[in-house]
Amino acid sequence: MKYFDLVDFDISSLRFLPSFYGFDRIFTTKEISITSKPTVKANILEGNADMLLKYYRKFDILHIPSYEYSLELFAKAKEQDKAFLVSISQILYNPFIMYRIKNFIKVARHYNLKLVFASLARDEYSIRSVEEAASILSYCGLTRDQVRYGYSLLERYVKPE
Amino acid sequence: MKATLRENYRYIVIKVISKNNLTKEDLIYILRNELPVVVGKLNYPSIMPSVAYFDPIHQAAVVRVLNEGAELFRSGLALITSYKTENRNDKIHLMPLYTAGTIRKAKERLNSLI
Repeated sequence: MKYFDLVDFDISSLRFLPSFYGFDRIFTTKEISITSKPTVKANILEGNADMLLKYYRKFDILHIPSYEYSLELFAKAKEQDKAFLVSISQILYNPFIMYRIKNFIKVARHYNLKLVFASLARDEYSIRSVEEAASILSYCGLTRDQVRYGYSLLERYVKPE
Repeated sequence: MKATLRENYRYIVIKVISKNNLTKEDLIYILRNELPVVVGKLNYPSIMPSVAYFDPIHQAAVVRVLNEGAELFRSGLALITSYKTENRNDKIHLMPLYTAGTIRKAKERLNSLI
C-alpha cells in the first residue's frame, strides 16, 4: 500500500526524504489546494458544515476544522462518494480537539464514509509518520489498519496539478 | 526474583529531529518534563523512561520503558512538538523507529537504521 501526506510548507527544505517518514510522496498545498472560499477552484474545501452542505459537489475532499458533524452532510457526502480530511497537526497544536475528532470519526464510520488522513504540517517537525499517526489515532477509536488505509486515499481522491 | 514478578522492559530506538543538536541531558530533560505533560502524571509511572544509550553524532537514542507503557510512550512521543529549558525553546520531533526486547538488538537496529 502506498501512503501519501499533505503539508502546508515548502518541502524543498526538508532534511529527510518522504520514505524516511514512510510516505511514497509528500504533497504540498500548492499541488493539492485547500480553500475556504467555495468560488475558488481547489481540491479540498474547508469550512463549517452549513457551507460544505451547499458546495460539497464541486470538491473532492471536505474538511471541517472544528470537527462538528452534520448528519445531513454525511448522508449527502456518502451519496456523492466524497471523503473527509482529518488533520493530525491540529491534534498536535490543540490536543483538546481529540474529543471532537473521536466523535467525528465515530459518526463518519457509522455512515461508512471515507476518511483521508494528512498531517497538514506547517514545518518539518510537525510531520508524523503513518505509524505515529496510528499511535495517536488509536485514542480516537481507530485501528492501525484503518489509519494506514486512510493515508493511502489521498492520491485516489485528488488528482494533483 | 520470580519471572512473573520481575519488571519487563522494552527498548525503543528513537530518532531526534531538531534544529540544534541535543545532548543526552537534553533528552532526559524532555522525557522528564515534556512527556508527563502529554501522557499525564498518572500514566507516567507506567512508562518510567530512561535513556539507555544516546548517539550524539546521529542524534538517535535507545530509551528503556516498561513493557506495559510502551504503546503509551510511542503515542506520547508523537505528541511532543517542542521543549522549553532556561536557555532554549526549540521545536522537536522524537520519532520512534523500532521496538526491541533487548538493548543489544536495539543498538544493532539503531546502527543499521541511521
